[in-house]
Amino acid sequence: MRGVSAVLRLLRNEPFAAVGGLIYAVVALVALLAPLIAPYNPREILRTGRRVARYMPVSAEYWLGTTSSGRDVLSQVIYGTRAALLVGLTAAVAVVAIGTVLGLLSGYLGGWVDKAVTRGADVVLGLPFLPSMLVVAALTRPGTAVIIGSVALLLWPNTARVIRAQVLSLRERAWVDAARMTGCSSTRIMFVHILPQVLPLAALYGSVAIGWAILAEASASFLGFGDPETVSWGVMLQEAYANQALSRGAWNWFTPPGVAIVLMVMAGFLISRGSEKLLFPKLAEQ
Amino acid sequence: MTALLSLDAFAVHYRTRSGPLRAVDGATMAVPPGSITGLVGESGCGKSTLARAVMGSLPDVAKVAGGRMVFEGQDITHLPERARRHLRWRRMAFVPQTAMNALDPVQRLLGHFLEVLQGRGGFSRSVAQARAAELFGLVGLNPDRLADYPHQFSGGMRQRASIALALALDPALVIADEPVTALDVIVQRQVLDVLLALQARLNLSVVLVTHDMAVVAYTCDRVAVMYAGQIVESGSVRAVLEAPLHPYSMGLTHAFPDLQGSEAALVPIEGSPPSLLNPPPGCRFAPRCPFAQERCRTVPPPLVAQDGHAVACWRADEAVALRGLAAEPATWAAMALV
Amino acid sequence: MIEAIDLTKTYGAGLRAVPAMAAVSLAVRQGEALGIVGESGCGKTTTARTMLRLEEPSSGRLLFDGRDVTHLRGEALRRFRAEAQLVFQNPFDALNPRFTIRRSLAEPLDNFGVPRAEHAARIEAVMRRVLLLPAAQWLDRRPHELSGGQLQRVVLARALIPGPKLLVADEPVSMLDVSVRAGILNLLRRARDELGLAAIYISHDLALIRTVCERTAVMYRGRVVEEGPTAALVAAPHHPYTRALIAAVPVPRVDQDRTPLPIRGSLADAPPPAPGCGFRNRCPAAFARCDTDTPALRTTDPGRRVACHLGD
Repeated sequence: MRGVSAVLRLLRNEPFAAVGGLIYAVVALVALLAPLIAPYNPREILRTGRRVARYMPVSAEYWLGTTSSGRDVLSQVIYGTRAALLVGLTAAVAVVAIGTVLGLLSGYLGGWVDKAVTRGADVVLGLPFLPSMLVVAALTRPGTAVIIGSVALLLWPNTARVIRAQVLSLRERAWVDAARMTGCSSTRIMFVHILPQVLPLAALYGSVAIGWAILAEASASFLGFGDPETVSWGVMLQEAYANQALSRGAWNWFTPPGVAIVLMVMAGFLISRGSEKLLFPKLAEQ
Repeated sequence: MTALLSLDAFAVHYRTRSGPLRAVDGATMAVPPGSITGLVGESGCGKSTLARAVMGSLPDVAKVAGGRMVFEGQDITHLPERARRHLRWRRMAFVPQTAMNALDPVQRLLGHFLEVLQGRGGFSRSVAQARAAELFGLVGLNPDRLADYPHQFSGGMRQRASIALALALDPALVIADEPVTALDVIVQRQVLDVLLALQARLNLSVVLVTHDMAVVAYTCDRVAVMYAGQIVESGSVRAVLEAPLHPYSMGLTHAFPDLQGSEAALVPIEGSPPSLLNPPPGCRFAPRCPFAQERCRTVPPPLVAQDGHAVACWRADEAVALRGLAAEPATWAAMALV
Repeated sequence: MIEAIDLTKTYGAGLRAVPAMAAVSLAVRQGEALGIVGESGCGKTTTARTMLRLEEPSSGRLLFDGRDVTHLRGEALRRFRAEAQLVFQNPFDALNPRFTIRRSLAEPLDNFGVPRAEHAARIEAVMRRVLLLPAAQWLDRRPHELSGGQLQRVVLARALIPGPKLLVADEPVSMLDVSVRAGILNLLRRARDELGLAAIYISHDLALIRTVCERTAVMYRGRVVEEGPTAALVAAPHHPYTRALIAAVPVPRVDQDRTPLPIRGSLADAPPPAPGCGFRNRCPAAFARCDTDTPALRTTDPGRRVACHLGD
């Protein structure tokens, strides 16, 4: 309960976090109510009369016009929120879960566990993000699962390092010694005592990870490694590019998904900036 | 003899979201020249706030809320910062609790002295260097070590260096805020001996802020006892320690173990100091006082002085009898059941 | 109850080895309180932590209630915890800030396998012992809502709740206001008397130790230099360091000794190289033998031990 009220107070006091939270909330709402909001089925090929309604401009009938294959852009943007949230949230959860657990283990246990995790993190950090993801996608089947997996495998080190640093400092606190004195096993200390203290930081990195994941999905789809069957902003951009929407001046097709991606990524960063005060109150006091 | 520093019903309030926090709310005391005056009290009693107020280095959220402060005959209660700056280092100097707050870790000790002596004092470099060496000698430090950085000094040596620095421009008053609290007992004794020697040699006036009555007994000539933002008793150390008039002083003197004396049981003072946001009406010590009466709880006792010994207690005239009771832990233990 | 035989604890290795504790031999009987006194870096906290097996000794033996616990690991070590508990120095840091008081007190019961049905009764009993009553008023609060003295009572309660045989208190009142100290010390004393516990008090404050401990050990640079009944030790110290320590403690009386201390140098000076007495660079009475022979802790009078050549 204290956590919830703290979050609400944060949203009231921090405009950054509030704006980021608002964007997420709107996207979530849209994703939830997509079938009710979207004017058309995003995959439906629309016709005017007998002709396919290709490249229709912005009008009252098609608020954002249509694509080269006659599909409604607005409906695609609306349904794209689902793919974005699915990929974003799943990947973020995976990154946070892997990063937090590894950070916790290496920070608390030290020794060879610590060495193994930090070496592993160093290796992964050395890999360039996009090319690595594309290699994985190319070797396996292109699709959403691969994208989520790649993001999780490539982004966990940042979270792990930060969590590890916090665990290292928490480990020296007297109440951790006290937990040992009261007979707690190492596992219990790590997951019952320390984990709740690092969760806020993990959540912060999670919110940034959502943005990165969406960006990753968009990039992969744009380069043709996404799942062409799903309706996503990245696939939209890929189709627009492949059909030379730019030279045709069909801004109504490629701008909306681009803006949507930018907003989602920005929302992640805004929340993380705004949450700094909640997580690091001592800095704010200065 | 006129006091070097005198405070009259001095008050400092902090601005908080829940209203004014009365950190110091009625401090009346006098520091005679050439003496070491102790300001003793527990955490939260306002002694550090008072020390900073005297130096004029209160944080922005704090302001002087009443009373008068007279230093060297001048009313400095509301002195603007520019004039205060002029007083700092030259007429009054501060020795903080940890030398780390006074010494810049990336500057050699000599640099610290030059900054004060040349910068503030306007001395030439050669004169400043000679004076720095002299000051180090005064506190028992080897002048060769002026070339070192603060981290190369031990805790006790750093404290002595801070004291030497405070003396750079020959101030009339040095305020030391818990100067020995963080030190080992042997080092503590050495630093206190330095203060005593300085006082004897330079006729220095010192205000020593501490929570330790034993330190006060060892070092000070006079003492003011502070509780919940107010000075409840003040006088010569002998008078306050051997014949305390305020129940809090009585309890406090029996709360410190005496290594040289008999193994008397320590006295517990049950309860906690009152909230400074909403202090109780009447005497602030009444809730914890085993001798409190109805009047104590409703009307705040005034500070009454006689023969240089001042006390704020309605039952001060019964002090002799109360003292006897206060020496018994049972008197105080009875408060736990209240 | 607990006996340390020649315990050593060294941190680091090779040239950078720091002997925090060297050849420490101490014993505490049931119902007895031993004080360990010394300045920073003397090894008193390391000694306490090693005797509680929060650290593993580098060499030597540790006997507890007749059993050898020197190298306990894993489950056996965990169960040892129920018998030897620690009261921490900083009450503001000794409790998990997110746990309620009840949860902090219940945790040792959970860990040591006390059936759930008994928890409430045992928590109530221990709250009564530390005078935090009515218990219901305190159990649902969190550490930040309590004062230092109240928190220290909770820390004591948590240490007592598993029913230990040995209680170690590491500077239990140094971070508390003076007026609150006597109350906590009285609680410790009563718990000790009523439960027949063995106790070890760690402190830098010799005057405080004298009011609570029957026996005292003085440590300097990782070694015990003197040990004996507190009253005798304070009245007639044998070791020069003890003498300096006693002379250095200020007392709350105007008329006290202000003569220079019988000690040279400072702890910050480099320690003299072995062999020889580690105190000789500061000792006012050091002579030739002090440079060559490391003095062993020997029994001088019954119950008193000193590590010094002066007695010979």
